[in-house]
Amino acid sequence: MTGVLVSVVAWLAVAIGLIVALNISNRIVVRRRELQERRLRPRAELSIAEYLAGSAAAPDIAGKGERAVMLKVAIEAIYDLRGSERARLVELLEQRGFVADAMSGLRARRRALRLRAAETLAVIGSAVAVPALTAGLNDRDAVVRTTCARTLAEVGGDDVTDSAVAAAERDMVAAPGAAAAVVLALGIGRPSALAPLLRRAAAPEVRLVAIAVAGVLRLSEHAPLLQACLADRDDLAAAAARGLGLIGEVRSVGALMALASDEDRGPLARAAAVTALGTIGDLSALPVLESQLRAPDWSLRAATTEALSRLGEPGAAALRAAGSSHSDPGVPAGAASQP
Amino acid sequence: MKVLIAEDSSTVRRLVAARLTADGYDVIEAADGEAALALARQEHPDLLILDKVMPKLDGFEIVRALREDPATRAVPIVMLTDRTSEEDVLGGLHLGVEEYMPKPFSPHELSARVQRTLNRAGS
Repeated sequence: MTGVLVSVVAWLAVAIGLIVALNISNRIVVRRRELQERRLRPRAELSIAEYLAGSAAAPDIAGKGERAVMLKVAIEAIYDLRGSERARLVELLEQRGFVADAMSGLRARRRALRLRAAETLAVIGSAVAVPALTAGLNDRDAVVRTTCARTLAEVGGDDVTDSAVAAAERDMVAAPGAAAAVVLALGIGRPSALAPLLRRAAAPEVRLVAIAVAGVLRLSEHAPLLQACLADRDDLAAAAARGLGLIGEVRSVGALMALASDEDRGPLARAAAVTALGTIGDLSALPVLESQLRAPDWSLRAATTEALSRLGEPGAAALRAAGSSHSDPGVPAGAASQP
Repeated sequence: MKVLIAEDSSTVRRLVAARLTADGYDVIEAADGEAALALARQEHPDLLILDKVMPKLDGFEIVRALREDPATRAVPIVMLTDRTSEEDVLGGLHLGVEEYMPKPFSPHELSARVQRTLNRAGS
């Protein structure tokens, strides 16, 4: 019995010793890297800065450590640069093999390495990487796939747009943040590519993001598709109404009025329609808005008070008239704030 | 012409310094707000390029301190920052900042704005 106990304690001591040794060696490696970076960084920063200013030739980079620091500094610089200097820096990274390294990194076995490579290519934004990024759309990891798709949406040609759209659709549930970034990149770089994501054939999760992006980016070309979304389930209709309000789509006022006064719809969608009517500011919506001051739901009444307050004197008059007799404390308050 | 760059990112500081040096300016650098204020008082630069968010002293606090001091009241200031909300821009302009340059930026364009600001200030 004592022999077993001694053996267990001995093994535990060995295990703890190994963990401590591993921890110490990790710390030593991290510390060495920090010291190396501290030593090499000033030279890397200076050589990149002078190269971009045209006062020095392209920097010579020798050794793995120096390359790692140079890439780190270059990526920091790319975040803060735009215009011709940014383009020159991207060109330098292409010439010195950093883009090629990241492209091979996309084929690594470890997920962390592939993700780092995808993120590096995303920051650099080099068109040279398009074939590797296209292959990356078939990665077994959703975040790697969507990171590749976002970069393709930003730097790829029209021929890769469909693949980026498909990646956003496929991974919206598995990697919602990364897939939403693909939709945003498409909205900024290729607004017309959002159309299939706004239609009913697309999954509701991806439609919701596409509708929000179309609204926030005020993509008026998609107003008819947003208007069609008003007939969908409440969360989609609400997002579409908000988008139409942001775009200021006067041609959708009729559809928004119909949604606002549809008693079969939930308050979320109706309140969003009311808010959009106030934002658009078309006075033909006044009777519908006045009638919603008597809606049973408080959030709808509050949205209506806010919307009427945006319609200038006619809206203010409607609020004053309602405020003198209304039982909802919010309506008299809205009326009191009117001139 | 002497230009003081106050920016906590050493990468950005060197990008700006290299561009301005290549364009013939005499450049001095500060990595935090306190150092920037001290250098502005000692070195009397012809223009300051200031980041809004810096350690020890905020960019706006530096502007306020410089504008209150008769010796540095007239020095032109260019804000170089990623804080570009309406509130930030208006805050800077109200304090007397001459130019507001958002990040990401082009060092070439910044240099042109520095030149324009100096011309306007009659330096």
